[in-house]
Amino acid sequence: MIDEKYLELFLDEVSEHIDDLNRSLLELEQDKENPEIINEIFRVAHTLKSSAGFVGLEYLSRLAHRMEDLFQLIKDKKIQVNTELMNLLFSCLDAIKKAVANVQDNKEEDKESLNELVHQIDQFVEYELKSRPPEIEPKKVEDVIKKEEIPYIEDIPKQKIPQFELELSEEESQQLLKLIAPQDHVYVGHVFIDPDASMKNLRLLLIYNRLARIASVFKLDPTIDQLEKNSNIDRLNFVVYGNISKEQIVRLCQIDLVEEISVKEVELKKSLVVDAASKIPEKALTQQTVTVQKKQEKEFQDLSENIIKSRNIKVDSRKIDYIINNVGELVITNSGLQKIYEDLLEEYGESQIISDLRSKIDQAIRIARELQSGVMKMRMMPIGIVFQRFFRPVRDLSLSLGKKVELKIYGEDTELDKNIIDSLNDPLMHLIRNAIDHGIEPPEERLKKGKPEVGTLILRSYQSGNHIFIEVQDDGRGLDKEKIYKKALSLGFVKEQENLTEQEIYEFIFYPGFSTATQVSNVSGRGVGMNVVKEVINEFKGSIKIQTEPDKGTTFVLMFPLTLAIISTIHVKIENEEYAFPLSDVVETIRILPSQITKLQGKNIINLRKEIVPIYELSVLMGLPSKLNDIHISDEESNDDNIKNEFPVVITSVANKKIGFIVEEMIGKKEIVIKSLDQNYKNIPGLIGACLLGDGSIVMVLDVNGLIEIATKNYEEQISLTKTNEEVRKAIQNYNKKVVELTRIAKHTKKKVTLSKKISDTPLEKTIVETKKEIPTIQQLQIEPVIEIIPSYTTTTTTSIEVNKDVLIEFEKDKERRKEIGLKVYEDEVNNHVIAKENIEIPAFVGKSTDIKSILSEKDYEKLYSIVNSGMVNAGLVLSQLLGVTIDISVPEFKTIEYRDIKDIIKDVTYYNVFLETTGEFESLLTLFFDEEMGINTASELMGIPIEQRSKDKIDMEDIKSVLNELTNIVGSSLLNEIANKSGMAIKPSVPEFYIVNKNELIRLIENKKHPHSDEKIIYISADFLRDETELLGKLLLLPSKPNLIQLIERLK
Amino acid sequence: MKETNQIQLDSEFQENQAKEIQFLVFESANNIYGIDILKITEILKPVPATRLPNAENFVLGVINLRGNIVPVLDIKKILKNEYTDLTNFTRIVVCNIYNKNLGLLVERVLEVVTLREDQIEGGEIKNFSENYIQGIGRSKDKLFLIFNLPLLVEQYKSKDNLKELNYTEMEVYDR
Repeated sequence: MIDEKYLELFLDEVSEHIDDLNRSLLELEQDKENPEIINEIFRVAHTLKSSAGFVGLEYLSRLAHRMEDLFQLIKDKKIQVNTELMNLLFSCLDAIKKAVANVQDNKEEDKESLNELVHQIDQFVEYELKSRPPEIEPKKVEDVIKKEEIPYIEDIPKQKIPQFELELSEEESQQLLKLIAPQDHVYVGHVFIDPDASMKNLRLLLIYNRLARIASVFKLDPTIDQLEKNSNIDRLNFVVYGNISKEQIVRLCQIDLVEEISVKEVELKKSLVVDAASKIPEKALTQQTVTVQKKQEKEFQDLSENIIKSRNIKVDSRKIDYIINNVGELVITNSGLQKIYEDLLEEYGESQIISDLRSKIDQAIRIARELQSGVMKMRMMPIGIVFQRFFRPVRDLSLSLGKKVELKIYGEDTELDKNIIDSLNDPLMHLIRNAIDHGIEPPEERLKKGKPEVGTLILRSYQSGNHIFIEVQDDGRGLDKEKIYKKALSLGFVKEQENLTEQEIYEFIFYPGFSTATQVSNVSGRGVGMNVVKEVINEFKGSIKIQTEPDKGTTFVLMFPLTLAIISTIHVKIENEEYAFPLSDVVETIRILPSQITKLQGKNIINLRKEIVPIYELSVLMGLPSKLNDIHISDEESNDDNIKNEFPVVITSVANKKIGFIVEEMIGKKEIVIKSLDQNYKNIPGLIGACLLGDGSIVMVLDVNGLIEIATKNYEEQISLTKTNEEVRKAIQNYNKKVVELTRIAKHTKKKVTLSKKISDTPLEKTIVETKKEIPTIQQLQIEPVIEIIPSYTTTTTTSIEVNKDVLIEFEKDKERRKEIGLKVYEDEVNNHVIAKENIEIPAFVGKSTDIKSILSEKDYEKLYSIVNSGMVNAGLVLSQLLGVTIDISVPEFKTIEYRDIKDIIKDVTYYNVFLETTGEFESLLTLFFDEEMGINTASELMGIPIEQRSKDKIDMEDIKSVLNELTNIVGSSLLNEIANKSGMAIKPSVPEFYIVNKNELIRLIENKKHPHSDEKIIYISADFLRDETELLGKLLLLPSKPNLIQLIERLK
Repeated sequence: MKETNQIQLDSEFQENQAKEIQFLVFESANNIYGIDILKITEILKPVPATRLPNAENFVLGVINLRGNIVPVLDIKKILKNEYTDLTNFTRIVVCNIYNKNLGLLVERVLEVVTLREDQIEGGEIKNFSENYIQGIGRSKDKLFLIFNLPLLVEQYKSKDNLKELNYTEMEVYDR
């Protein structure tokens, strides 16, 4: 029935109307003849009538209409406001509220009750009018129809607001006489604009301009100045003269939304002669004009002032939330940008572009900040909105409880975030209820005590520092400490012996189930409300304090932090931990020398420009050990009064008192988003929360008030916590270190391959590969397969190990520790669970020669592959160690092929090739070859020769040869080592031989050495030697001859 | 015994279906524990944590979990007064209780076990911090201690709020 969109608008508007009506009715009750209030109510009723009618709420509209008429009568002094009327009006207001509630709940209009009230009003009016002779016969006039036609159930004769027009004084007439020309006519007129029109003053100005163009304007009321300033003036009176006709003037005045035009020609004689009034109303309307005195002018002014209430736009608060969210993201992104800028600067140094970037980033940050502050202000609303609502309840409550209470409010303009304001209603209501019910005494009792009969209830709000304070104060009985304590005792909230401070005793009233009310009234005493108050306060990180004095009264002081979601902070560092001070608390930061600290009454203080400022160590307050003792404090000892001994101090200010906090390092200013700690943990004294920096790290945000509390009241307790804090600190340092380690290892893990067997514990000595003295390092290193060292992250195709002594030692230690604890579970898992459950992944790239497939099982492949892998990994490790740089060896391709396929692998290019033969229990040929360019690059890379100098002529071939030889040695040995380990065979590698060959030569060489059959199975490995992301690809061929590949695999355990 | 119960079990299957509880079973402090899986929101590998000053000694620190600050409690520290040594199996189990998210650092997550109500029992409990054990779960040959999560949260909740505790204290009786 009703259009959704309009309905929402209506609901928005109507709630304001209800508030206005409420307030006005209350005021009216106190001041029954005040014309301003009467007008106000009239106006509201009028608007309500139209709005309700517009959305189709006929009965509600009717009621409003009646009220409007009623007030018209009141305005005309035909009816006087009395108590009966007040009650009637309040009932109407309640009915309106109910009607609105019905609309919100999508229910039908309560026709009956609304009609009933209409009836009552009619009766009242009838009665009242009968008892007083009417002064003027109310005329029947047709309604002024607005642009939007609103059909009414009944058309009720409506009286228009009486108009007035200018009067010309004698003097003015004489003046005018002198000015006019013979053919000129003088006209007096007025124009009345629809009061609901927008920009009324502009329309009137337009009329004035038009008039001025064809005639001379002698007098204008209101004046142009007034018109320009006041947009709510809806009428204009003028005196013009000129050679023009009345019709012309009237026509000029006929602009949009003009409701009435009245022009009269005037004959200037000694006195003003009223000509036959010829009015041409804009719409059909006849009216007698009544000249009214200045009083109405004033009334008009006041009315317009009242109308100028607010130029606000109503915005769905969700829209604002959405914007706030995005602004928050923007601020965080900006700091991310900032970080990137710093990284760029570090990497590339200063340049024009980077400076440009800097200034743009600064601009963006500045604009974001403006946005942020603007948007935050949008959500701030004056607390007056909430305070105002309490007048009515206070009135009702005091009446029903037989008390006399007057409500006073202060600081209505204090602004709070909308969220908080919305939630404050209930808690404040509760506190007020309590105050009236329990706090304020009945009038007789008050008189006996010598207090004024009427009790005072004060709602006060103000801002101080970074907080907003709201006080609920009464001058009643005060809280009974004894009674509360006893009740707490009986409810088991406290034990007999406990020593409690006054505040703590009073705090019990916030506990659930607590109420010392001996009688449970409908209003209070159920003990439910107070802890709801506490909950709301906690929700917004506020706090509540109780001040009370027996027989004098009680004050509840609620304190809410002004911290908006994004704040600016000053970051400091202590012991490698970063902390943030809210910028609003910081007054300045200074650097002092140890000698500047003196002791006063056992506390450390400094002299800050003649001001005594106590200082504390932030480290201690955060549980870290004190450093102050390390610093010489006394003058005599310190001879090092130089810059080096200076340390920074952050000076903060709370309630106009300055406190200094010693820190180790100043980091700088940042913009952060505060996150609550309480959400998942609890509030920590000294912190208002934590924040997330652009890079995701967490920084604690300090609560200066809390810090002061700890420093002054709980210092000993804090010191006692140092040990625990130290313990945790060490633990978390270990934890973080390990996390970094594990993630680093994990990062380089590309694919997981599981072990196929239990890790061999055979000491390396047994199968150590005998090598020539050229490579002594292998023997000394006693490389263990990396697999053993890193449990579940088993070897993969690529393993990069930054060679670091500590890491190696850690590896060793790790192994020992595990053995001690005996993580059999781990081994079991590796052996049983993982293999049984998971599918063994074969890296996708492992190519299988089709013939081999039928011969080698999946499992065998796995075995082989893992050996190759570990061999390569080892090789990488050794290489890295040798060269002192990180070398990764990855195996992008691994196949078992038949010898004949070799022709496809070896291309027709020049190769640098190194052979390595083995004897002993395992006879084979290993060859590593690079194509020329790759060979040079690899050798150079390993030698650390920069790219520019890598040309064949620049580098000594001998060097290349020896490097590649070495490489083959290492890689070959590692691989062979692995094979040796797994097969239990003793293997002896020969000296590497270097050749520069082409394809045919290479093949011939191989054949000479090994005479392989064409279908002999060999292993082909494509190896990638990665140094600092540079890929160097070489190829490895392993030709096992005795035992051959298949036998070899069989021997592998 | 099992056979006779078998028939009953089959017929009562539908009934019992509803009373099943699933536990995430993990190992810590040389013991195996279980937590009601409905309370668990996620399991992650350890990430860097920031120290929370003046907190209890079993609060290792806080982590950033997609914009939320979540505390990490070291189970081993609570139960055995030793800090967990990090291995590749260590995990942070994030639980949600009383609308608070908290992370538990466990040595190794094992599996998920489904128990019927009758498989959960209280028992004479020695050698552990009694408070943290809510009961014992038995499944085939698996035995684990049911960890009392709510109590843990109670331990560090602020004294401001006194909420009704939502766990049932298992009776300790002789078996």
